[in-house]
Amino acid sequence: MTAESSFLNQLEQLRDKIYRITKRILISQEEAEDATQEVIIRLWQMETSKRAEVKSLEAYSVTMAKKYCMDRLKSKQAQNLSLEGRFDSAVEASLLKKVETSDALLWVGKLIDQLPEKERMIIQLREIENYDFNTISDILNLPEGTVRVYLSRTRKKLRKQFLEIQNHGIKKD
Amino acid sequence: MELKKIKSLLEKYNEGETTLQEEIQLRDYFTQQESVPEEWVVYRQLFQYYAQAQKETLSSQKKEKSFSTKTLLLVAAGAALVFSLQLLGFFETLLAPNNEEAAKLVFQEFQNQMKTVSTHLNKVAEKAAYLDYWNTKTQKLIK
Repeated sequence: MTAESSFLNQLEQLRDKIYRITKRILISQEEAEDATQEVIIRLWQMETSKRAEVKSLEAYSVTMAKKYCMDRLKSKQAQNLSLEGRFDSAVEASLLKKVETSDALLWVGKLIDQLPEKERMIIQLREIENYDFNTISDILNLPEGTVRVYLSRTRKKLRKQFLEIQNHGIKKD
Repeated sequence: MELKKIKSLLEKYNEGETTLQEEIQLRDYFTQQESVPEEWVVYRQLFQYYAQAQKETLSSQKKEKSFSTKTLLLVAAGAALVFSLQLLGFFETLLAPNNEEAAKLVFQEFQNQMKTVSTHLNKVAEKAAYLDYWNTKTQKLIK
């Protein structure tokens, strides 16, 4: 019984982390809440023998959350791919206009959410969840060197994009 | 000098070569320092966002949500109240003695409607009887 309750405790601590990951992939808050619940249930239903095999429950949960969200996205994209694309560009256009008044931090979030999936995940895992390269390479199933290259590229890209947006807002000439 | 150290850390950071500890140093610098060189303002905003995003929790979102469902319930209750009041007003005008004529008219209208419904129902029932007949015939044929 103590093993069960300590497992439950671990899950409880992981919940917010799983939520942040799912929200980064799915963007929508409601979908992220549903996904978090689903992932927690799946972890809870995992057999005890399998639980013992898992080296790090945290990395395992994050991997599971990532996989679950990617599946969700795939089934969603099959349904309304074109609509989503149009929506994105509309958001971008209106965002550019609001530069001066809008909150800079909100902007960073939107920029990250517009990154391709791998880059977005790497930023989330490294900058927000502060995982080491070894763990990130496990979760994303990529070699460590590749993770470093992606991370470096994405850090530069974010900085450049953010500067571009700000310069649109404060044109001096 | 601290600025020099931060500068070299930033260069490493951009190449993806900083350790987690070094990144924490950078984050601390950019979230605590009130003024940074202008070319670093962008880093300050990025690191501030990361620091803020780390604090996002499911429970904090839930609180906002339960608040919004509460307001939704209030709005629904208000709408229901208005609707029931209107319904009450409708019955009052219907039952008022000076509106007896109107009430009779409404009742007659209602009666007519029900009659049409019932005749249609009867027609359908007759058709259904044919179906039944057809059914028994086919059953016999199959046998």
